[in-house]
Amino acid sequence: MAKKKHTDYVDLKDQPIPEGQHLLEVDNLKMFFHTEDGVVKAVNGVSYTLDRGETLGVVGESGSGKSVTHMTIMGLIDMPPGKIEEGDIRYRGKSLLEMTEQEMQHVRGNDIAMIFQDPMTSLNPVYKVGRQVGEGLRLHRGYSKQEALERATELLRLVGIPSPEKRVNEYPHQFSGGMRQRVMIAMALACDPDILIADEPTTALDVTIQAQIIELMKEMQQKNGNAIIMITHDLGVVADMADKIMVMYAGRPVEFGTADEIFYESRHPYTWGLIRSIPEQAIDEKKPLTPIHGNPPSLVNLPKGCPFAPRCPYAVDICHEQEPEHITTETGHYSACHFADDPEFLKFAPDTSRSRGKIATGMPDTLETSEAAPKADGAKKTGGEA
Amino acid sequence: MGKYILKRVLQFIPVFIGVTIILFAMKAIVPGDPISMITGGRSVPEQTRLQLEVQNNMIYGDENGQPIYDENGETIPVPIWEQYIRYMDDLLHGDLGTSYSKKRPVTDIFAEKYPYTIKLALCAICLEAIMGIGAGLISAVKRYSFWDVLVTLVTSVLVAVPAFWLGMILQLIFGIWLKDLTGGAFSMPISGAGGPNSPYQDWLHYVLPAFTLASVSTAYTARIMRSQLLDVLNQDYIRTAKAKGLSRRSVIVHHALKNALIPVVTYIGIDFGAMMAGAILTETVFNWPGVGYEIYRAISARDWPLVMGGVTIIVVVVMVINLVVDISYAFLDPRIRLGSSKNKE
Repeated sequence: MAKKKHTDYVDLKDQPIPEGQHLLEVDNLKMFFHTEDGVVKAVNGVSYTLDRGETLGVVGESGSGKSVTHMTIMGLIDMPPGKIEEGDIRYRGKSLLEMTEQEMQHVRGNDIAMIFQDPMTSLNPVYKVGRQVGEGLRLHRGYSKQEALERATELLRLVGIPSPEKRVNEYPHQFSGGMRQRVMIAMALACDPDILIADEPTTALDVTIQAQIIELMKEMQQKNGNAIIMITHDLGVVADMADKIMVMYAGRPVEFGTADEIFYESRHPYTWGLIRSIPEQAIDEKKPLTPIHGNPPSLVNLPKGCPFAPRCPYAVDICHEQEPEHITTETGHYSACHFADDPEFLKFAPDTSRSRGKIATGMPDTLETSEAAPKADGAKKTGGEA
Repeated sequence: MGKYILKRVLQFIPVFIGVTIILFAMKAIVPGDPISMITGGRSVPEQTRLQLEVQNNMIYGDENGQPIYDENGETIPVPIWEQYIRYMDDLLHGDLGTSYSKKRPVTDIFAEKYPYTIKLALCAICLEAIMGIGAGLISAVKRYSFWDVLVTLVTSVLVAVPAFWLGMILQLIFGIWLKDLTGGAFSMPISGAGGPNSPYQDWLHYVLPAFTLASVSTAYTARIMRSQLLDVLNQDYIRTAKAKGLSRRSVIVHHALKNALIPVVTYIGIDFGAMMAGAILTETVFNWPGVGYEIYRAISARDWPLVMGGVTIIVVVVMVINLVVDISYAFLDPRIRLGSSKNKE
């Protein structure tokens, strides 16, 4: 893939990661919105690291800041009203926050790509799909119109869209939801990004199609070696594909660990609540589904102490008084709960040992059906969905 | 697409019939004796009067134009529905009747007047499109800036000012107060042409009327453009475009503009249709010899053939333009052009 334009610009993704650094490092990131109603603490101290080929699951309710955090990483937040208060985002050792807008434009779509929740509205209705998929290539690689269209056709084939040479010349409204999300994935992967941020990519889709899309993302990851950040409110989705999981609440991570640590050794009552509200889990245990009562707090007026305390069934005085620090184990598993290292307290955790291996397959039935879903070569099965 | 056009053309028929019936009913209701209109108010011999009534389809007559009498020796009035059918019959043969006051075929009169209206409308629509879209674009892109406030202010004023008042004020300012500065170029903005001996170029005469005619629509165009663009810039696909690494400029020019323009083009198109109906106020204020002014005069003079013929022509023209607008809309928006039948979800 010869570059024709931007020869003066060296793609960051072609540069080695400096010794001792990670592919992506988010360091105590704080991004607040300054609005008329007050300061909205949308991202309030997020830290994590991500390496090549890894998948990070970011879980939390609506409004927990999981999307905003990653929009901030992409530089897609309008500043103002947004403002970075503290922290840093380093990609291959280079701070994204110190980059000029022009440099960020090279990063966006080229080094770090993003796909969004609603494929029905995320494609421009007045342009042909091929043009939209090839646009990044024309921009970052300097492809000609014809080259971009050829590569777009190739990409559509890769993501399992039948007869791509015909489909590139169609408009988004002629595609079904699942097919549009495939288009979004093709578009995001066009320039071989290092990191793919997927913001609830399956939420707007049918369950069977959800499984296909997740399968496709995993398949593409194996081929390209890119890292994936999977933002979702569905623990089942991340259980199936994430190496690490970050649970977010009220703009901050409340628990971070490997998928196993989060599912089987969770040390935060919010995570317990999320696990108890997985339908598969309840069916398996023949227990009623337990919702987390109450609503997330207002990000303008955060309660004193632990933000989860008002909804936490185990909260005691200290929880309402003092904000918990991250308590970290030797493996790097951390939890923002005063009692995270109290063995007596951890007895309240949901017993997931019996279902070990079952949650981890996520949506167990649907994923098996996805075996029949289109593989890289595309063509067969997808006709019905289109 | 062909089917769609055919359907739209067929819709012309009921609209056309409806409009002509309303005009015909108005003619019957509105007081005034057509014969005295034709004769200009002079008294005429009884025989001439009867002949005129036959000519104007008011009473039955023979081939020679002489009235037919019934057994009581009285003339037989033509029922209104038969008058309508006769009128439509003539109409479909291209005969719109003869003007009472000008004694000339209505078709000739409008063939003469329409070019002036078309030229003025074209000038006004160009002004409207360029100024309206430009102002709306700046306003949306530089939201809450000085320019945005200025555009909002000016559009509010333009919407509120009546065209006839604006027209007179412009004449006063440019034609009279600034006469020395402009060399009198705008002091006689009439007749659409300066005549062979005019020291000024023809197009100068279009400036003030076109600006007056375009004023209100320009303000609306700017506002529609602004709100549409702001709306489009909040759409998910704009976020997608940004996430691809496009610059803000590219996002606006390549992804937002085409979407935002769809309703603006529709508005401008419909407005062009309205201008083709003749701008009665603007044309009257500037003595512009277009169809609007002609219809205004025809109504004042109760010149019914001219009014009816004129309105009928205008209805057809406006319907055709609206059809063209709808078709162009489809070209901008593939969702309309291609339908969404393939989308099974």
